Amino acid sequence: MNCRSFRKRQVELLDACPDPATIADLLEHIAECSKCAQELREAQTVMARITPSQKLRDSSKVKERIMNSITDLNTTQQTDAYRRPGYRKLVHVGIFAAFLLLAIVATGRFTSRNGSISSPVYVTLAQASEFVRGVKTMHISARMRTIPQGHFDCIDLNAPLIPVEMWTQFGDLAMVRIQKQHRKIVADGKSTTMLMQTGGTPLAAKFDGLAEGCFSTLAPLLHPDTLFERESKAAESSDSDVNVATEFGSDGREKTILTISAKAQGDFSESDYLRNKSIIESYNIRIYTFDAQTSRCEGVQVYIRTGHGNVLVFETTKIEYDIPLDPSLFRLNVPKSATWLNESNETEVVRDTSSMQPDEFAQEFFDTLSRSDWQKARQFSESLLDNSDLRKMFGGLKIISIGKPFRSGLYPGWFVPYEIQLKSGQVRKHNLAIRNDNPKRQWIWDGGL
Amino acid sequence: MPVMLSEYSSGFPTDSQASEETGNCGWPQTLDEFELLVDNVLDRLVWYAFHTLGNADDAEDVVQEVLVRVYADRAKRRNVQRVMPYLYRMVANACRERCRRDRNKPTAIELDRLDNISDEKNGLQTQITIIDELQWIEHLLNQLPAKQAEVIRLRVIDDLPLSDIAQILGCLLPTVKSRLCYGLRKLRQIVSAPKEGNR
Repeated sequence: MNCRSFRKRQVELLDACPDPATIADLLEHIAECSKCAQELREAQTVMARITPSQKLRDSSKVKERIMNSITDLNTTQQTDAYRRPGYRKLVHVGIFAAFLLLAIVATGRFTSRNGSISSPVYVTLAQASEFVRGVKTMHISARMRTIPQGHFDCIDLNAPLIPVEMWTQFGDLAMVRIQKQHRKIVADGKSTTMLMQTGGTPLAAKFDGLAEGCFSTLAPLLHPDTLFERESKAAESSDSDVNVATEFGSDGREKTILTISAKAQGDFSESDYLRNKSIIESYNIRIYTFDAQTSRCEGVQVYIRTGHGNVLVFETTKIEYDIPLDPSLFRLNVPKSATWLNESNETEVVRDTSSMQPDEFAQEFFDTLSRSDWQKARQFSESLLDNSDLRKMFGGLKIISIGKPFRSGLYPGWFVPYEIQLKSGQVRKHNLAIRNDNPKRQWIWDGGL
Repeated sequence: MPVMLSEYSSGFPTDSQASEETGNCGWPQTLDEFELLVDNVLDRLVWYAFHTLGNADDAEDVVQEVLVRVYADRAKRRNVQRVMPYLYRMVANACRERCRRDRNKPTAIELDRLDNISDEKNGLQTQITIIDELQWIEHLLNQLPAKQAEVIRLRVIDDLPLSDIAQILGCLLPTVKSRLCYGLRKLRQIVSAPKEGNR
């Protein structure tokens, strides 16, 4: 060993319990090299100087307090267990668990189906949660199959994978920035601002607090502790299959791969219109990769199962923890020309629509646009129809047909099929999204133009 | 002059000793295993929480909270192999949460908190000595980059093996080694420089 190699490895001699086998050559070197021996002594001296001469000992009462708490806990658990009418079933569960454990040992893998979440899954999630609880900042670069200006929850299986960037700074006032090409959302801890570029005038909106509804699919990724809780609940639910496996990554390190296969949520009995339009409304497969040693989540991939195979709709390309974030990331410059969507105060009810059927409201809505009655239209669409581009496009339209309303997926409102002819002569055929889940039960237009 | 590798033994059991004493059986599943773990780790965890929070009462409360969770959630964590680093991470997180919750409370070692520390094992004079020493150590460590200081703190003040430090901090062993190496090098310069405040 030469002096250079020694300097590189000398901290091994400063470890709490160095392995004699691995340090033998280091010891051999310092026996011969007085310069390196001196260097090591200096390092040891400085360590000695900052070693407290005494340490605080625990109060003798602490252990007693802990053990008393445990006794209370045990008593409560036992009482609860015996109160539960089906506690005897636990015996059967225990036998099943034993077989399952044998299966894990035999295969090195674990698969949980329909609610029988396992220790390995909990351990993976719990360790990852413990890790992220200490994280201060996070940056995620990802790709998502979505349209550049669309809602962050919406996916489009025919769209290319486009870049999505997310930053978050944890704390009492969590700060978040999420952006893709034509849609940006910034939460500065007090409010959330959204900016969309839809072709003409930019649209902006501001909400109090952290408006996670603007990015509800991605929000859990930025709150990994919630994400893991959510995944652990999902793993327990009857609609998910959970699989934990270990494998070696391209960096040669052991990885824990957690795979959750979840069925589509929502009611599709009337229509499949919203099926596969968001991750949660799809049969999706979520794959999390954790570093086995550090429990860091290193990657997330989401596939949607379709009749033509699995389609990748989301994947992280980089996850960074505890990196310095520029404060300007959490400020959003909204152009002066932007139309603010929710600037107006409480919408004035010009016409009570609470007793209308969905198709009646759709008829009323399009009639209003055809007359270019923007005062009334504002009631139906809050302030979106203040947008001059939309006024130009839809003012004076002609209704060709209004179809039978239907519901789909998790959407709380209705879809009404329609066919209209615009002033430009263009014919549009689509589904109007309307909802009345507000305290006054007034119908509002929610999309689909 | 011979190099003494055990020169920094603090009197606390090292992690490997603690593991041996707990039978190296992983996460405690029975009350007996749990009590054995408490006997072996209580001092170390309270000490870690104490020099993180600067207050003995808070340190004891945090450790109590964590150890009760250790037992309450034992089923979930039965597969955890290396218990000690996991416990340190739990205590570190609990300390951070307590600091966040009690923003008005000091997080550094402060002498005016001494009136809170008065149990039988830790006499007032001992407390003053410990806190005085820790203040001086923190004064030195605060002159280092935070990540290097954290590794030195865990290695020297908590007497933890480097492999455990890597687990606690969630980074690779070579990273921990290089942080220790560079940190100690800088510390040597700081200690040897005749600056006011360095004794």
